[in-house]
Amino acid sequence: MKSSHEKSIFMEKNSIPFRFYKQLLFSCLFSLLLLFFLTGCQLSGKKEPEQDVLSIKADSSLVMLRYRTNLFVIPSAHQTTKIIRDHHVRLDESLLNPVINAKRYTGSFQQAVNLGIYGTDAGYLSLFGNNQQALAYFAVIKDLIAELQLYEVMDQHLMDRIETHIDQPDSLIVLLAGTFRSIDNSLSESNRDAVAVLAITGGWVESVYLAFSGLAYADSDDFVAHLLNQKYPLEKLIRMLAPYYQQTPEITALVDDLTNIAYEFDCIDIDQHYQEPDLNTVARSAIIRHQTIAEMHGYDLDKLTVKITTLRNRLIQ
Amino acid sequence: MISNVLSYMGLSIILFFMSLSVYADDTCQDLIPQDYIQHEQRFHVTMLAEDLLFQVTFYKEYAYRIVVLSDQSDELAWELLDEDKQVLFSNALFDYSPYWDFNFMDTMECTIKVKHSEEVNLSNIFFCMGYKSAH
Repeated sequence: MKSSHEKSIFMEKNSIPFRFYKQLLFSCLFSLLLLFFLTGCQLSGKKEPEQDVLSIKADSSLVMLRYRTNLFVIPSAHQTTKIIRDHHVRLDESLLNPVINAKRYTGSFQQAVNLGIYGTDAGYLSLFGNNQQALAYFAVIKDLIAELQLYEVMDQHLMDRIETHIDQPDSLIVLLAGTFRSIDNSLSESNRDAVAVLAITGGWVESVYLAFSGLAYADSDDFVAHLLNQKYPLEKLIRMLAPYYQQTPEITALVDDLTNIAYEFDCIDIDQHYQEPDLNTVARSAIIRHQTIAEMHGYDLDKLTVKITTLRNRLIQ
Repeated sequence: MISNVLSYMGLSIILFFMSLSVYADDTCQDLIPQDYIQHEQRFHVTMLAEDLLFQVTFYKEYAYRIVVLSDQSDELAWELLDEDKQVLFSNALFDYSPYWDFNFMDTMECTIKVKHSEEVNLSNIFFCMGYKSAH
């Protein structure tokens, strides 16, 4: 005969909780067995080892963002800065946001937007081999990340890796792109999506500002085509910022300015030429041969440049 | 006795479908090859009485792998549409393949339409996408 104390700890065999847990245990085992059987016993050893970020090509650094039921893929700011370099536009350090400005950014809006701006600047300097100056920008990025309480995103280990890879610009850009993906993940998990979107927007504005500033020096129409394609990420950024439109006056002003820029992008003449895709059923792949011809008049390009420059200069103040 | 058996079965079915969701989720990620970059977060949504639309800008000279899975049906139909809603690809023509690779010769805005049907109603739809430089 069990004491009353024992009864409270050990469930009696025929008590309702005991029967419930027994049922639950059997059901779990049954489900696992069934699943294991139906899935061809693939549950073990299926996970592939985690890939080192440095083995990914730098120019693959698109940014994929998730917002509620939407998935947005935008080119990372570093893709644009790489295109600047590839089209022989010279490095112009005077265009960058000086690191000394970082002290001014006390509000989370300024910190988030300028985190993105400094991220682009760091990538831009790295691509042109100005590594020592790039390190100063990485230090500012680290400070802003700390201010935004995103400690897990850029820890001492990552800073050490950045210093180790300072002579390898492409690796640095991959590290930076990975950092921004982590920011997005971290903020999405903590329901602070607005900060992630603001950082990505800041990075986008800076990259487009740098690219438009180099327009006069670019050596091909391909460069202009890339700039005109920025219409698509801009539309996505506006859609992602829209839910926060009335959250603060700064976000309201930012969305208004971006919308204004989007109107200028609407002046682009876009001509789509449909071609039948090439399908390879064995490889399960397709080549999409659509061609998009985008054109914009010089006058409209100038107006666009002025609007982007005005917004960017307001954001770094 | 009969009520016990029925409750075992009920609980088992619930747990089985929960396990299938986890399995479909993992499979979605596993179908992205290692050399592709993918978003770390899982993306899934419940299919409710209408088609699901994902709007994506595909960039020139990038290779993409798109994976779309349901945790309840192997015959989930999805399509890739251009801006004029012209169908560029339909997996229904290829035995409802859950994944397909795409290379884009030019930057373009597309919609991935996951089609609603009775078989997939209320199921969890898992969407994964990976990308890499085409060079």
